[in-house]
Amino acid sequence: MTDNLNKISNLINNQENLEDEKKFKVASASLVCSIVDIEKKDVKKYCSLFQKNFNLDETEFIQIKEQIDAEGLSIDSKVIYIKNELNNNMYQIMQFLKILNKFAIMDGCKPESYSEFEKIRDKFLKEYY
Amino acid sequence: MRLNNFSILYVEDEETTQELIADILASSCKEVFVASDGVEGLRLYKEKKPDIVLSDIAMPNMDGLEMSEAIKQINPEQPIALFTAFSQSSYLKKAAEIGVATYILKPLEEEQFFNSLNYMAIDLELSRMAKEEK
Repeated sequence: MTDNLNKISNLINNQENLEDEKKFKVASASLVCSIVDIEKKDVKKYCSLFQKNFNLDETEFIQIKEQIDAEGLSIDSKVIYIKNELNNNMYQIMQFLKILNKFAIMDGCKPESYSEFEKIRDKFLKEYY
Repeated sequence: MRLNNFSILYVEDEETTQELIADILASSCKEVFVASDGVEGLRLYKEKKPDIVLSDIAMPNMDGLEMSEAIKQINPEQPIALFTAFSQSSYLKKAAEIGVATYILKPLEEEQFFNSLNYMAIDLELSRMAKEEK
């Protein structure tokens, strides 16, 4: 799975047709925050995964998290945005979901985290089921 | 429903649950193989090579984690989903280390159950397409 995650990370971080990489990172990190409810004190624990998967360092992540909290965007709007940025490409969407899944199951797995992941996963995939 | 293209190995020791889920799966999947513990599950896995493995965790003889570990040694890419009530976090940590990334939450909710299996089916389809393209 690590290879696949690296592939999508590269795609995400280097994709030429991304109009606004920062916006994509905000939407991605925001979905992760919806799943794992990261407090400031926990950021270090998740930092290496954010760095690896979304090319976000700790400072940038904290800024983005504050922005997310202030904006209060709906999960639906973030999902639509990310799907568009991934050109509705099923392979890329699945690789993206695997990254979210990895966040959901790290450190064991909390039922709330996994349920939230499922809700987000189904918003991405419901038309394909 | 994508599941009708795929075979499933379902491993569960509790008889009533086994019958119920096996019936549900039989109406949706190409083929369903049923085992009552990890030993039988592993034997059936080697014999039938199912597309998806679905298993309970706590079972006699060999539990779902030991079986999943043995299956992942045979085929690291094998999609496996575990039924869980999330009551034993040490089990889930071990499951993540083995490479199990899909869980079916207990108590069973039918829509979520099929959504999780369809998620695995989509991933399988894409993996096969990618292999064919190579």
